[in-house]
Amino acid sequence: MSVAALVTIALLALVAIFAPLLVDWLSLSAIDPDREHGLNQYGVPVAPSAQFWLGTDFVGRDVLSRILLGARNTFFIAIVSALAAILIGTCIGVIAGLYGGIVDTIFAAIIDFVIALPFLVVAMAVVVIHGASVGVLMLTIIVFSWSTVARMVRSLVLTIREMDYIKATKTLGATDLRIVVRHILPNIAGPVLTYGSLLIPQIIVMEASLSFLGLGIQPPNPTWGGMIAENQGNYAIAWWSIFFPGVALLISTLSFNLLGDGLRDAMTPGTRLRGRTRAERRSR
Amino acid sequence: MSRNEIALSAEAVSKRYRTRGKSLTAVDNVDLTLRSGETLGIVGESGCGKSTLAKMLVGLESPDDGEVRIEGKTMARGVRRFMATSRKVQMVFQDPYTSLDPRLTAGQIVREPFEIHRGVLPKAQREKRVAELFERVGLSPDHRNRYPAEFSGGQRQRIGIARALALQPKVIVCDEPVAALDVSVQAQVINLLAELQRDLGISYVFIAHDLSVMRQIANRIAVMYLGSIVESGPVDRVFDYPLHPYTQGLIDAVPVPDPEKAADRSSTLLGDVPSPLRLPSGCRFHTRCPIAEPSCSEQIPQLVPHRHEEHLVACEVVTGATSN
Repeated sequence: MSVAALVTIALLALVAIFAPLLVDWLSLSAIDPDREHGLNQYGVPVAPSAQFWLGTDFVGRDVLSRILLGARNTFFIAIVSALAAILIGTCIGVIAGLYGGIVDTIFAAIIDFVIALPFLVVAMAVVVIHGASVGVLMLTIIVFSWSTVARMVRSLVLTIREMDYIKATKTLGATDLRIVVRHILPNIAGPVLTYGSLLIPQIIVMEASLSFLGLGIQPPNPTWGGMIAENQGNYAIAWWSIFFPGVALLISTLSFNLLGDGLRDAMTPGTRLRGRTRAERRSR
Repeated sequence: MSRNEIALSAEAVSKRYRTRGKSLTAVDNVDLTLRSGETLGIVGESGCGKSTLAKMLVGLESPDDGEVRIEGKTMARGVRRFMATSRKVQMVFQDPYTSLDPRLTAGQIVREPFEIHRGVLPKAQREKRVAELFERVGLSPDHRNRYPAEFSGGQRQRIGIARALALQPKVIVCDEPVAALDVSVQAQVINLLAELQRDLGISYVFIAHDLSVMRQIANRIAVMYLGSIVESGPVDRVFDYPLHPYTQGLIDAVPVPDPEKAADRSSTLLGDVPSPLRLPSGCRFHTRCPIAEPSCSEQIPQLVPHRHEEHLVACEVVTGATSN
């Protein structure tokens, strides 16, 4: 199951990377309205056909071409934001967990504060103040994503730092940096990677929600959430214009979730031998 | 190195922990000396402060009062103290399943001391030295690329010993090194430790609750009860002529593997260890002591020699009865 998810993600990533080429090859309008070809004589979007495989949207643009371009935006935002959130969350979680005391209390308070904030309300306020742009969108997503990573990393570090192998390394004269890089990070990498792959679909949905509300990437540049938003008035006569972006969202979030589950299952039994894990992966 | 040189000593060390406003005295005013090349055993029930004492001896905890001296020099305090102590004192831990990093190979674990102390050995010689250490502790050097999970408990403990040996310390503090192992494996690990002592002249502080293990390896032992030493002396003397009623209780509690011999349960320890949060007044043991007198709850007994210059006991009743 998780292998299928991994293959799907790889395909989606290829699509995202080569989207402009594919769109050129389709040579249908993706950004500019095309009322001449994309709408019939009554101004109704064209249904899926030999020319427009997934139909057209409310101004006659090709839905497939826009989904391809949207994949690029969506994946870029999701992956970069997830990496940034994991990086920040891991740093803060490690510092809070390792040093404890007042440092931990302060960081724990900040983490709880961020987790308690209502995402959409704050995101809308930020966009109203700073205007909508990719940068502001990603920054908002990162601010809301690092805290859960930090909380998880903190609790992992609290467990690991009490392990005898950390004490043994200390008595050998190791610096804190060495203990973190050599012993703590490798031991939390599994859960953090797993969480990261579960964070990506969350961010895809966050981005879709914000774009749906007009707070994300600005039209005519496509994102999946934005496509659903701009076509929602037409769903009764052109279901395809919101159905297919929805399917794209579903497939990608589902794949990342399944991959995350698979990673978690592969990493949870801590005592499992590495060789055997590899062999199992091969046989699956 | 002469046998009378003092490798490690603790002078009046105390350690207190605060929990919810209460103060818990884990180790109370303990004096200890470890001579070069000898094994000093520390016995006592769970929670008597053995492990806290061990942590103070290697510097993982700083004493609240008193000081630990390595070869006569006071152990430094502060973040970088281990840079100096690590080449003199090392530790072998109780649980071989948490004392090795599961993400490193056995070879990487044993090589780490050389990576921290870069000056000890040039890079080119490290791998060879790691292989030697593996052989020294009875492991095949070919197993260096395996992960800890691929070894048995006894083999893991050998890896831990190899890591402790890497920097050629004078003293190794063993905190219940065989308690987590099967009986047959215990003997192998103890034989290995004895062999290393013979060949390398290492001194051990050996902590255990198993008295039969103690008799095999220790030269001198100290018996701890609720953070204090109640009796200490040469191991045979303490086992054959136990003075303190607590020591007698511990020795009588050891099962005798002879069905013909009726177990003498007259001095079996009764009751539970009092909470270290509320230590009994006077002698800590008077609440469970079969020979306690009213005065025992008033005065804290001092550790004094009795009948033998090296056999010390902290019991007013024992020392008082014979001096009268």
